[in-house]
Amino acid sequence: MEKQTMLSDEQLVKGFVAGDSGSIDVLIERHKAKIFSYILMCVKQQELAEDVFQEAFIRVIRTLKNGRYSDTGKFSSWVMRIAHNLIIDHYRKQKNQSVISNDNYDYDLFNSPRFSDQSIEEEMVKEQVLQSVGQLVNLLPDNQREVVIMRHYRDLSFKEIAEETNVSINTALGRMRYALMNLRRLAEERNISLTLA
Amino acid sequence: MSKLSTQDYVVKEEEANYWLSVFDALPDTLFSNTMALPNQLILANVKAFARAYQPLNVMELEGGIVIN
Repeated sequence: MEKQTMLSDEQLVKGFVAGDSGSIDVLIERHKAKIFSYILMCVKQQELAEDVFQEAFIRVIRTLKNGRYSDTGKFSSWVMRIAHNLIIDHYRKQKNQSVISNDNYDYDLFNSPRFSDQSIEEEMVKEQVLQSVGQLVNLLPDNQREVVIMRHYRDLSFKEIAEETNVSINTALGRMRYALMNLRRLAEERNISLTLA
Repeated sequence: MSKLSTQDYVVKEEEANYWLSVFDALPDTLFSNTMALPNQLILANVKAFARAYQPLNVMELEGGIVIN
């Protein structure tokens, strides 16, 4: 690690892509203060800033590992741009969740098929899909099935799942990830369509 | 509960754009003694994710049911 701190950002990025996990640690430590300060300056809430910081670095890691990063400037600027996009997404999501009034429109906003009850056919398709998913879930290894059931049938958070199953949050998240991959593979093997619409 | 108007969100976006340009221009070394830092748990999470993450295309090559 000591030797890595002497390396440039570009060298560390290449090291991480090549499989050296220590390189990303150095990059995070080197740039955490500036990136976090920017996020906090915008959102002004420590917890929200931490969520954005974590999500930004998760995107950074995914991009690097998937070989989609093209070195076009400073590493910290690139990460800040990702964080910036997440902040804007957050603002827009908040805006869309604001109260809307029908009085401001010449037509009835709520007179839309989207707000009507589902037809019998849609209900049947939904029921069939849920039944198929249930059957596929039963084929999963025990620890993965447990996480899926706790998350989607019992609506527990990953923190609660981790506590109940005596594993770390990362392990619970990993099991869910593997479960979803396996479910997709199982559905494909059996030619089962899991599309509702 | 305070209500935010569309204008408030526009202002927030403009603020975020402004701060991005400011921070982008500041040297990284300026932040070496800053007190604004994320929780250690967040940093540990991100580092753990970096170690655990495998791109999907690599995992799909392995085939079969993945048991962790």
